[in-house]
Amino acid sequence: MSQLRSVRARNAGDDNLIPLINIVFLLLIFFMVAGQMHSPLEAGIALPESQKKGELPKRAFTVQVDTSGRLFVAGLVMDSALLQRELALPENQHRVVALQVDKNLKAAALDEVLAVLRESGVSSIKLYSRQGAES
Amino acid sequence: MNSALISRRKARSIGLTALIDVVFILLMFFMLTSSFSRWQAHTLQSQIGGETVSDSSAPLFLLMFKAGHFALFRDGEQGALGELNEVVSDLNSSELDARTLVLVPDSEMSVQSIMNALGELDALGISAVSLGQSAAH
Repeated sequence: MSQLRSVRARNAGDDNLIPLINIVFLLLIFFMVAGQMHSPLEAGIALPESQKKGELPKRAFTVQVDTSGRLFVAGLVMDSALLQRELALPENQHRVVALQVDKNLKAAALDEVLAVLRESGVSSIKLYSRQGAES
Repeated sequence: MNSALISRRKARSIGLTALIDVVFILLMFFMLTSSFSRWQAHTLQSQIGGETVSDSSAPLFLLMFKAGHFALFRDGEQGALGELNEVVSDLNSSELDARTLVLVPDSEMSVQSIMNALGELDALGISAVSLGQSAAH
């Protein structure tokens, strides 16, 4: 009899957890659906804002450029020669290049990056931006 | 009889603690890794790199862009400096279909300004714009 009572008490304890699980599941679903996962930007890079809509490429070779024009690929600082060598690798040929540049980068510095990409034979470049607030 | 009932109940009950552990770990993972700033990607049509709008033999309209003001170069002649909608209002759609509009920013303009200009052109219905090499300051 006392054993039956202790099982009932344990079940009642589990019943109290159900609202908690409901809330945690709702939070989990919210973060899974509303959040977007993307590779982190190098420190100090802030993407420009844009109202134009554009889909993210499924697979791309990501190049990040900070305000001073430094190039980053997979977290490593690169010069233009090294970037060209990376792009010449068989697995990187014919790939879309995702260009994530700082919003304060000057047009002249952007020209230099684009020139390197052209010399490497890149045919498709996607310029990344953050979705701006609707006006 | 009682002990048989108890053991059957024990076997049927699911341990919620393990479930909560896993769900909490998933929740922490998604809270820490997901971001709410939406990213988007635009195909860069550029005279320097990327895709070109049309073949290079087509004559070009140059749209010079400096400090929020624009000037249209048409057949080698510079138009008046002004707001974007005033400057491009002279162009009709058939002209734009036949010729390429190239945005030439000043070398000191920021990427944000270029994106703003491309967004404004898109809002005006001109989406086939190529980014040209920046002009010296």
